[in-house]
Amino acid sequence: MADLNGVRRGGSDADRGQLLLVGALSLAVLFVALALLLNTAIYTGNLATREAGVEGTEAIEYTSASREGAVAAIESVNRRNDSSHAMLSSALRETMAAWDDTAAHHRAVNGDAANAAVVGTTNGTRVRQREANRNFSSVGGAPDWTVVDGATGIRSIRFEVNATRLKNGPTDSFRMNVSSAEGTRSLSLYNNSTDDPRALIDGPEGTSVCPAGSVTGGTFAVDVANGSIGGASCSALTRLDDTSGTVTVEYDDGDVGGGAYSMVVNGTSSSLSLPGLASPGTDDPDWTDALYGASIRISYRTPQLEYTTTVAVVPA
Amino acid sequence: MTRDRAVSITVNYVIALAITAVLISGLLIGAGGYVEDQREAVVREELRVVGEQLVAGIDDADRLSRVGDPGAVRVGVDLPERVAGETYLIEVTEVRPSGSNPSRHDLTLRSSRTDVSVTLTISTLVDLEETSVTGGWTAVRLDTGGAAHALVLAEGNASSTLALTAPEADLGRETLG
Repeated sequence: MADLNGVRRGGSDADRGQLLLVGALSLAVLFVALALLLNTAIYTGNLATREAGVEGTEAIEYTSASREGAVAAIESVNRRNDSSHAMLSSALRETMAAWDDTAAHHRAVNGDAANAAVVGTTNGTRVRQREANRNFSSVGGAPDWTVVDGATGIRSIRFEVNATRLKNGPTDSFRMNVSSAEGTRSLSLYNNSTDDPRALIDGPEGTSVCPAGSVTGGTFAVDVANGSIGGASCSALTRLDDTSGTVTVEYDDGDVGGGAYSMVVNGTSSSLSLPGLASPGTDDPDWTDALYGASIRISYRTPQLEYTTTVAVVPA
Repeated sequence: MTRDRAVSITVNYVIALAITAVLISGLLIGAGGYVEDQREAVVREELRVVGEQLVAGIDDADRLSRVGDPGAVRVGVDLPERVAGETYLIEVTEVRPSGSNPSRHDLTLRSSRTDVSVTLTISTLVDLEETSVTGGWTAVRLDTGGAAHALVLAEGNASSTLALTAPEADLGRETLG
């Protein structure tokens, strides 16, 4: 026993603390694992607050800006040029190319490749009367006449109305009828008993009457796209150009209203029926070639995003 | 008496050894369990963050796909390949098909080893195809081939799928006239 003790005592000197050592080492490993997990948790926090890295917003902003640019370009081209559809289309492409050059440089600062190009145009026809002192009759002088028939859309209807020529009361006053598959909507312009101009909009939705905001120098503007009359809001006006299918525009009692007007319809002069209008530039009212709308192809590329879309642009 | 000598020392030694072993193993088991719990919590948290980033990418693709007549929509989402050292799987399952209402899908992210899963619900106006991809760089692509457009998740790497694709032939200036 004494021998055994002696041996054991000698052996236990060397082995003493073995269990503690193994336990401590295992715990140390666990602590290291915990530290690594803590590190991952911090990384997750960092990841969560990081931007997702997708430039979807920029692409949508660019698309929207291109569309606005194209609307302004179509309006500008139509205003400055009324020669032929080919010339108008060419002018629009050049204008958009100049816009695209500037915009692409701007986006390139962020390392994004952006491009907007005109891929197609929709030919239209502008109907207008420039002479503000003329009444709203046809070129031959007929008070009830068809302005345009066979169009597939209408936009940008604007009048500069001479208030002094308007009839008192809505009965037999000047009326514009816009007929399409959506029904017939009409706009009547007249003065009330105190000689203040009014617009009466009639259609499947009901009847609305809007007073003119201000009359300057005897005239006031009626802007259908904006929904305004003499600067005052008239939301019912915007129903007029809400059409589908074939569109026909007629004037009734054009002799009791006068001023300048313009509108753009979808369709070329060869496909439309324009019996009451003079050839371009010869007399009032007349028609000219115009662009109704355009298709713009937009592409936007970043390291994270590839995006191509074609948007149809039609000014209001 | 002589025969019992040293017995108390041995008993004392064995008891001390046993108590130490019990204490240390208790500590190890407790700490091990704690670390495992923390690990699952961390994996769950990171899968949620990763899932939300993917959802942001899908939302962007959904929004872009509804502008005009889209030709190509591909949104790359740079997700980590591993969460807390494990790979994970992303699974898209349909909850409600698209119709007049936005479609609704469940996005389930599952870690490979701890089997932790996180489910996020996403509503899109463009349909999302049911699919599963492994974690890592993921592209959300618009499939314009079918009758109705649908978004598809695809795995891949950023360099080969987006940055190095050939630019469109007519990306530059349109011919005038």
